[in-house]
Amino acid sequence: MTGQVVVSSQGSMVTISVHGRFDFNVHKEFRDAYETALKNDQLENFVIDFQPTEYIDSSALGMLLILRERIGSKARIKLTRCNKEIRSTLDISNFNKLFDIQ
Amino acid sequence: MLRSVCAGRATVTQNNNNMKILIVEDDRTSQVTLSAIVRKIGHTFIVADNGQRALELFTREQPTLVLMDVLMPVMDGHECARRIKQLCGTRFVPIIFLTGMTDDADLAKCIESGGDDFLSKPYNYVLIKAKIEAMGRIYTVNETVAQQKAELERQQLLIEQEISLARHVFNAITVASAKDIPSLRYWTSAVGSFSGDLLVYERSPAGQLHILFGDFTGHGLASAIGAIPASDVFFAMTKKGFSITEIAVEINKKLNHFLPTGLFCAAGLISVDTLRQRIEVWNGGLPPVIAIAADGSIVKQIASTKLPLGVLKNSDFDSHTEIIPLTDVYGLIAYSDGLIEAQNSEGRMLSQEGLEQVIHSAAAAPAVFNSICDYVTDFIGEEPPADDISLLEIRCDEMPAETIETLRQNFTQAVATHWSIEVNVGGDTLQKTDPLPILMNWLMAVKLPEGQRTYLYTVLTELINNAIEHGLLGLDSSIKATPAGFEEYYLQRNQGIQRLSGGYVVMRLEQVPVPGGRMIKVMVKDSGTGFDFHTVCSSLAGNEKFSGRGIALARSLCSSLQYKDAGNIVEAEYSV
Repeated sequence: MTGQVVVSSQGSMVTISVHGRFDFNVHKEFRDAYETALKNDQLENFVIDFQPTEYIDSSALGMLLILRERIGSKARIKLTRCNKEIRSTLDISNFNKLFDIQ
Repeated sequence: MLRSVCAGRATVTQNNNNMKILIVEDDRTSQVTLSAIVRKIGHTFIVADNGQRALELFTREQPTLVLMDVLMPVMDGHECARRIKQLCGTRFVPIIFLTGMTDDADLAKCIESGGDDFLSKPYNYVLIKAKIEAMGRIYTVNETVAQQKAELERQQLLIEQEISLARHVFNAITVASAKDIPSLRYWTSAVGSFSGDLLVYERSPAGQLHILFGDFTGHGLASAIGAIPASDVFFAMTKKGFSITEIAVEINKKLNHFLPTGLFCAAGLISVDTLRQRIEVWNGGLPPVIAIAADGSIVKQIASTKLPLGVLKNSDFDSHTEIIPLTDVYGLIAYSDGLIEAQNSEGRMLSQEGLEQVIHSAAAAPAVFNSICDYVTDFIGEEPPADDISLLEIRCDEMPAETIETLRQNFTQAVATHWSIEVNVGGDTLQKTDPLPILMNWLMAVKLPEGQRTYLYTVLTELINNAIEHGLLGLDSSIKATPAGFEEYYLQRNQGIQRLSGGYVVMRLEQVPVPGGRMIKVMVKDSGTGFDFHTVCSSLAGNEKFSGRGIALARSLCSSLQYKDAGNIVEAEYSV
C-alpha cells in the first residue's frame, strides 16, 4: 500500500522503509516511526531501505535532513537499495556528503 | 467574510433531549395526543393546523423534526414537505409522515415528497419514541458533517489567502530583476496556482550578468519565505560588485539561519562575463547546467557538486565555482528537476538522457529552447504535472555598446574619488593577525569592483609577503630553487613568524583621481635591512626558478613598481 511506513528492528539496528511514494503525505508516519525507533537505547545503526520506494521528492529530502539532525551522533544513518532515479536525485543534491548511501 | 461563515455554524445537540418538534396536524384530537406523547418523551413542541401555517412556523422556530399529517386544508402534507425540504437546502430536518393509509403507493408518495419515514394511526408511544430517536441520531450526524464542511471551507479560504500572499511576494521579487536583458528566455509551468521556482538576474557594476535560478522545497508560502532573503542578498551584493562565490556564501548563511531543517533551495548561481570572456557556475542541487555551442551541440555539462543552499552551516559550506571559457559557448540551459522527472501517460520519466536527445536533435542552438518546450509539453500530454517545471536559456551575447558605456560612467561616478588608508603592524601582531583582510575589506567598502580587487589582492600579497619574508625574517629566496627547498622555505617562514617579536610593516594605500580615471598608490615599508632588489627583480619571461616571480608578477599588474632605499620600501601605482 503506498505511503505505508514499515519499521523493523534487530538488536542495535533499525530499518525503516516507505512503500511507494515517499512524499509529504507520509510525514507523520515517518516521524512516528523514527521517534519510536529512537527509544531503543542500544540503537547504533539506522537504515532507510529504499527497495519498496518508487519515488521521492524534495519533501522526502527534507525529512531525511530532519532525521539526521534528530539522530545527531547517536547512530549512523545508511540509505540502502535505492533505484536509479532515487539514487540520481540523492546524488544531484549531494546527499552522499551527508549520508552513507549504498 | 470569515465572520459570516462562522456565524452560520449551528450548535450540535449533544443528545436528543432538546429536540424541538413541529407537529403539523389539522385534527384537534390528534394534536393533543401527539403533543402529549412528545412531552412525555422529553422534547418541546409547536403545532400548526395546516401546511401554510407550518411553513411560517418552520421558518420562525427552526424545529429539528417535523411530524406531518397528509390530508389538511389550505396546503396538504405532501406540498408542505416539499416546501420544507426546499427551505432546508443542505441542512437535514427529518419529516415523519402521519398517515392512516396503508396503501403502498400512498406510502411511497410520502417518501417521494420529502418524507423520511411514516407513522400510522393509532399512535403507538413506543414506536413514535423509537422513530424520533432514530431520526435524531441521523440529524446529529448530518449536523456534524455540515460543521466539518464549514470548517474545511474556512481552512480552504485561509490556504487560498496564503497562496495569494506567496504569489504576490514572488511577483514583487521577480519584478525587481534588471529590465534590459534580452538574452534570457524562461519557461515555467506550475503545479498549483504559481510556480515555486525562482529566477532573478542583475548586472554587476563590472558588467557581469548574475543569475540566481532556484527551486525551493515545498510550494506556496513555504517557498516564498525563502525567496525573500535569498533575492534580497542577491540583488544587494550583485549591485555592490560581489562575486557569485561571495553571494553563495551569504545566501546559504541566511537560509540556513531562517529556514527550519528540511527546507532548502536547490540552486544555480551563474555569472556570465562577456568582457572577460568567462562563465562561472555554482550548482548546488540542480540537474546539470548544459553549455551549448552555436551548432546546438553540448559543449559541457556542469553538474551539481554541492549541497543545496541552506542545508549546511557556514563553516561547512563549499562556495567553489566551476569556470568555463565563454569562447565556443552560444548559451547555457538550466532547468529544475521537475522537467526531467516529468512523466507521460505511461508513467515513463522524461529523464536527463531524454533531454540531451532533444538538444542533439535540434537544428541549431537558437532552436534548442523552443524544441525543449514543445517536446516537454507533448511528452506530458494531458497528465497533470507532479512538480513545477522551469526551463531557462541564457544566451552569452556581447553586451551592447551603450551598456558598456553606461557601466563605465556609473562606475566612475560610484567609486569614491580620493581616499587613503595606512595600516601599521608590529612583529608580535603579525604572529596572530594577517593584515591583508583589513585592506581587502577597505577596498570593498570604497566599492572597488571585484575584478580590480582580485588584481590588487595579488599585488598586495606579493609586496607584503616580500616585506615579511625578506625584511623581517631575513629569509633567503634562493632556497626556493628546488622543490625540497621550496618546502623548507615555507617551514622556515612559519617558524619565523611564530618567533617574531620586534620589527614592523607599514602598508599604505591612497587613491587619487588622474586624467581618465583613478590611480591607487601602494607603499609598503618594513623595518628590515633591505635586500638586493636589483638581482632579484628579473623579468617574468624565461624565469623558471621558484623565486623572484612574485615581485615580477606584481610589477606586471601595476603601471609602475619601484624598490627604494635599501630595498625595505616599495612603491607601486595601480591604475583603476
